[in-house]
Amino acid sequence: MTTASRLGGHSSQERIVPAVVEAASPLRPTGSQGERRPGESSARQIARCIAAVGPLLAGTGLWAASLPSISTYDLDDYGLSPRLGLLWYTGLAVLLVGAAANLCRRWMSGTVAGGYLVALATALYGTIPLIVDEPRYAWTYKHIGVIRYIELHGSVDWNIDIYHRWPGFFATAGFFSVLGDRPDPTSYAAWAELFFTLVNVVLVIAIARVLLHDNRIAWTAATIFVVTNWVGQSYFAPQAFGYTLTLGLMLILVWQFGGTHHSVLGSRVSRCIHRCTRRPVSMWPVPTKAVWPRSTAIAILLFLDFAIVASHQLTPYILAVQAGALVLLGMLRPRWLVAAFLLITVAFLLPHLSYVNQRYGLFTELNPLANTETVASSTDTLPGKAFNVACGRLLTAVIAVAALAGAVRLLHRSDGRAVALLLLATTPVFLIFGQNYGGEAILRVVLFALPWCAVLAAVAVAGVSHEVSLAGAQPAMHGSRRCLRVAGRYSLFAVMLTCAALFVPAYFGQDEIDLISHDQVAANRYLYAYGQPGSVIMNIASNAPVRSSANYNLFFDESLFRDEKFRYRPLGAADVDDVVATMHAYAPSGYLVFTPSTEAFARVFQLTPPGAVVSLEHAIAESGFFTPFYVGPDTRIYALRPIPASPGSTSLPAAKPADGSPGRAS
Amino acid sequence: MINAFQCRVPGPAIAKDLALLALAVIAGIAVVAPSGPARPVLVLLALLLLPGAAVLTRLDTPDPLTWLGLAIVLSMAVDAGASLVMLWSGLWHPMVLGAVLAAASIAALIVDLYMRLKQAHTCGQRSRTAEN
Repeated sequence: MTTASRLGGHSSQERIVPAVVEAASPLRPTGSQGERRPGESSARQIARCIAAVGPLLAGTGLWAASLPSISTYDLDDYGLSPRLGLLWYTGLAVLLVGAAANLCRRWMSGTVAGGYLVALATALYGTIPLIVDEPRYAWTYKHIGVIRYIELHGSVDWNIDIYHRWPGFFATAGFFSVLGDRPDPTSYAAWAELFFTLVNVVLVIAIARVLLHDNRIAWTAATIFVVTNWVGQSYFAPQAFGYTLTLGLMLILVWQFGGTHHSVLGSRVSRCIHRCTRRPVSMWPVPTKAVWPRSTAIAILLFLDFAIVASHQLTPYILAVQAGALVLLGMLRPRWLVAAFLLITVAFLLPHLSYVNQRYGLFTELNPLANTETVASSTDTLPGKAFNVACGRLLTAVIAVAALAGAVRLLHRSDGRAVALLLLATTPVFLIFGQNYGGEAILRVVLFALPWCAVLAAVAVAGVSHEVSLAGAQPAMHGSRRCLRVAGRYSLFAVMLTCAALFVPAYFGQDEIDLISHDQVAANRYLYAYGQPGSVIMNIASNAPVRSSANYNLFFDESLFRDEKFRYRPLGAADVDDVVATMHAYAPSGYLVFTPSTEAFARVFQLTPPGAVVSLEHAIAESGFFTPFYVGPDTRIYALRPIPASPGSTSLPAAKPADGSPGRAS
Repeated sequence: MINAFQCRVPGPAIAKDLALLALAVIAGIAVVAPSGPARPVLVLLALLLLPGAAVLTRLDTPDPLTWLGLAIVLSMAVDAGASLVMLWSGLWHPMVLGAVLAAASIAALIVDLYMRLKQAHTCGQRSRTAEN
């Protein structure tokens, strides 16, 4: 007996709770096909168990064994993916095949599927925290600085930066840091990506179950979600926090308030589907009544929305648009809920409107094509970068096509859920009609579309069992169920292996600039601890781990290559005066930082010809304007001598010896 | 009147409540005791589960995974809301807030546990009466 067949004919609470709990219990086979085979011998059961769990153990073992041999030293423009090694790829392939085989199995086990999901997520998102010492992405350190500021001061200062105006994530992390006795979030920030992914996976499963009442599709969607989330937006950042809250809010929204209601647009869409399929159309899973008391559910939704609004600038708008689209189609009531979401969002924005408008602009560009340009788009000329960018785009295309196939499959059965899922997957696109978001708009569109695309793609490859079809929806293609099941099995393998093959270069492909060495972090700590407040910290390029200390607001930070006069030409002794003038434009004293990640950034984005940065550093060291301030294994910091007008007014700290050992403690 | 559905002995729910209460106590001890490597893990688990679990004691969820997802999301929201109040009011005392959240969560879990034990007792009585 399946979940859906148990759902009919009871009051709302009785209808949902016992049925789904029974079907979803991780301790029993959870496939939509049936129950344990009667009369099966114990030897056969053991063999089946080994077949299900064997690849999980083998894949995890291979992956774990590969980790010590992965080197992150001197990565080229293909990033980390070529360095992961045969063992790592074999482990991943075994995990993927095992996961797909379990999902295809007639007696699919939820426990085993969960095990594969955790193993896959750990292999993909936990590899980097296990092989490098410090969190990756330079932006992570900016977030760490805000948290440390809050820990030190117990307050925020709106004048410092935009993070202080949307402090939800930072306050929460600061709260945890103090309570967990980890005052420096650097010690745990690297694990944020795996953590958020695992929580998101749970929410994707729950959403898929609520929408489609099918465990196999839910687990398949979650697996697809894990192997397609290549955009790298789930790291230690407010958007990752807001995204997880948004998925939770959407779960409550579609579960508690979803349904089929009268709407002009909804009726037209329904008629359109009916015209194409010639079958009665059902727009929503079941006429779901609220299981929770309505007022409680609304209060929780508004509270969640407030937490999202106070944590991230962009997320609440995408949420409101997605919810608004469902309202327009009559799939969500009450209507005023969307108005309340918008009201909270706008009310929070108003005190910061002039700041945002002045610094960033509410709308950057109205041309959607221009807004889809990412930072990576400008690196296509390097073969490795071109390959990685192409993999990312292709992966997005694959998941989009698979989602469309799933929508067609649902629509073919007059199942209106396809419309809701398509809407949720496509509405984030509105973002590119007004914002470039620092070259990340299109990545956010992919991120917010992904859960819904994953659910639709799961429908395409796993199918919806006829027993859980909507009331009124007709099963299509009666005579070819077996053929469909076999085809679905192969397509699941194909989709998962293709997605993973594209995911690896797309996700690990920028690590030559995203990975931050231990010495870089140590150098920055030293700089903020012993540097002169009011100075400018001038990095070569923008991907430096700056602002990682609680006193980051006492320093300026800038990148040299932001100034076009230093780009696209050889650099040397003739440029030292310009460098000094650029630094003096910010502050009378300053520090020029040479780090491997910024040098890689200049190389990858072809900001200078090969050797230009080394030549500039040589000239800086030889000039009389700078003295060595920190010399580590791979990071050098040069202190700018004070302006001649006040010689001797500032005493520079003693230069750190070249071996990089004792100066830090001075 | 207790119907057949309500008369299912809520064993897993009781075990869940007990486990959460144990987590609250152990995390509390970890915070108060000299710092060790387990403290961040226990605190993280407590912050991610207890506030949301306390809210969900009064609400039904369809399955354990949905409960887990909602408990984490609600906990994150409660932690964020409470931290923001602390931050904006200029009263940044994370230890006090932690104690308040733990106390509120423990209270809600104990009430829930009491109700479920009572329900289990009633069910037991009913089944004995039916057998007789």
